[in-house]
Amino acid sequence: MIVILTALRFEATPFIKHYSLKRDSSYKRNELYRNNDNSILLLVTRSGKLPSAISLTEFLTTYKLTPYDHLINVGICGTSATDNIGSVYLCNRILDHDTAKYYYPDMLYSHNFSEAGIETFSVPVNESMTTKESLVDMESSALFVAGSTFLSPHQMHFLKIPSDMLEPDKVSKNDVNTLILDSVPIVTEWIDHLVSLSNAETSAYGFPTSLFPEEQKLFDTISESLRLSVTMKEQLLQLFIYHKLIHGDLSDIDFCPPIGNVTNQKRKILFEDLRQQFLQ
Amino acid sequence: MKTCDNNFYNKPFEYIYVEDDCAGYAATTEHILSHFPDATLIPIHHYKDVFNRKNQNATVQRNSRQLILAVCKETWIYPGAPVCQDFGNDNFYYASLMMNCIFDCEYCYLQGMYPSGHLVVFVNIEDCFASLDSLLKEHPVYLCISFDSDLMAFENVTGYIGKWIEYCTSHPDLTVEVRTKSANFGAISHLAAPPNLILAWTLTPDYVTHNFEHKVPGLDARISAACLAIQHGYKVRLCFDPILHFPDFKSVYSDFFKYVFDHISPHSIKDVSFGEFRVSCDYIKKMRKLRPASLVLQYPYDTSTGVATYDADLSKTLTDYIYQEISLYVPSDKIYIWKGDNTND
Ligand code: SF4
Repeated sequence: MIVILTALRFEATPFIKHYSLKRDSSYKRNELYRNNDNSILLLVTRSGKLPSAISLTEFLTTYKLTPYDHLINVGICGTSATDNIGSVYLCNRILDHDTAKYYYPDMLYSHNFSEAGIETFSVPVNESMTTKESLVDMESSALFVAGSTFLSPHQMHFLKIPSDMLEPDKVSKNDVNTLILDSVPIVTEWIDHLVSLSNAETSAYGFPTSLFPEEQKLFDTISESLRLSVTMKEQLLQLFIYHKLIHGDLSDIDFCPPIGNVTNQKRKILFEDLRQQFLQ
Repeated sequence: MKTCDNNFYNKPFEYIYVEDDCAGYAATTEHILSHFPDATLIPIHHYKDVFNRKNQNATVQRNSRQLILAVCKETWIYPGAPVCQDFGNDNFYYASLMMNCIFDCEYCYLQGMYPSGHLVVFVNIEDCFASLDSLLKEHPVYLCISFDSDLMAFENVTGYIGKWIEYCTSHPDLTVEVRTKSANFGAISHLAAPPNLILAWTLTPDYVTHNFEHKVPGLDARISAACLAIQHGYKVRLCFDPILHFPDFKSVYSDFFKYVFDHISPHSIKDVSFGEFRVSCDYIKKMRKLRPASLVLQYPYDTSTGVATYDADLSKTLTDYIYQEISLYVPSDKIYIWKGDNTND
């Protein structure tokens, strides 16, 4: 699953159109959109460090992402260099202006964007302010910090389109719309690659180490009837996982709950018998 | 789009994170960087800002490993851990010049030890020699320099083993072991072998290499490298570690030892060691999470001693069998077994 994050609704519109995303009306606090097969979601986080971090945190507590899912923050930003305007940048480091702390998204995936560092401010940046990185915005560091609680640094990507030379008031909504629209082909091409990779890796590596309901029932029956200690339960779970890895399921495991009192010695013997069965 | 094998991952080391303090060690830093002229360099304040980030997924990172160049400001030399083989040496230490390895063995404890799959190279190797100078004033030292990495595999980039060879030559009270699975002996073959440096090749049967060791040279390549090192006068140790239990392990290991000692004369080696699979319980938890489909990691090991290893019966069966097989070729005083108490049998 790929989750596109934009600060503002108008930054989201071209992507909503491109992917034919539909509004999820059950998600109340922010605008959330999704496509038919749920491979692409889009969340409008609102702008600014705190609002965007809160929106993302709420989203990530609601949706449990796997290591093969990705967040992509797409949006306009300011720049200190004229040449940058209109290009799409993948940020390879993020400076939080307020704390002077740097954050580093993992740069594992190939791309055709330019690269730059970005500095995140709590207030709109203007010419009178000193910047250390060539790009500036008001969300990236906050999204990275909020996302890091739930996700790995290879799952968070920051694509920025510079729109102004630190003169945010001089940029019209129309200019911004054009910039975002122009970026759609290159951004969506990359997103499509990530979707394919995410799907392929989820099916290749997404081996479930949790138990299916039937397996959980067997686990509980064994644990209760043998009165297993916490350590033995851990061992049993490991036996379940190992056996499933080798045989695909647990259909050949044969367990009859013992009748009568299970002494410590009897429990040890029964558990060892079971262990041998699982290791076959 | 720059694609690598059409799999969308960047090639290894397309990004190199360089600590600001590396500027003080320009010669080594530039030497390493010269091997990656197309890499994007990202300046960082401290290597832990990248290496110790929260929630990294080393399994995914292994698809596109990046390099971090750093200056070690902490301890260089550590006392050997109980899970390591000390070969009967009292003053047994290890040094960490690199963290992580370019190879990818499923059973490797580094996955449990480090928060990242990326590699760190400390560029101030001269400071390591200075620490060792002080230690050598106190007593002789037996030092393993390639535990937390495979230095030989990265020798073309760092040249560090070459520097150790030079250091060994002028410090006879020091014995250095370089453990490796690499076939890269050519990188140091031009250097004269010092008597106090041991090249230790870890050899594993094809079954283990195919199933659990990724991007690692095969058995023949390792054997050829070890033979070449012997021809060049190097002391060579063979390490059969970890010994794993799997169906037909007896015939697999029996054929394996025959093959190895048909190609490497037992008289030409310094000694051999072997040890069954063992990893601290804290590490294995993390390793299992990172590799949920790994048979070698998901095996239900005995964890009652704080180390995940085979249960006592199986451990005895394995150890006895492997010892018996190796004894067919190697005299017993040259065989070291890791048994948890580090005794030499
Ligand atoms: S070669 Fe050694 S250090 Fe490298 S991954 Fe394999 S076990 Fe780990």
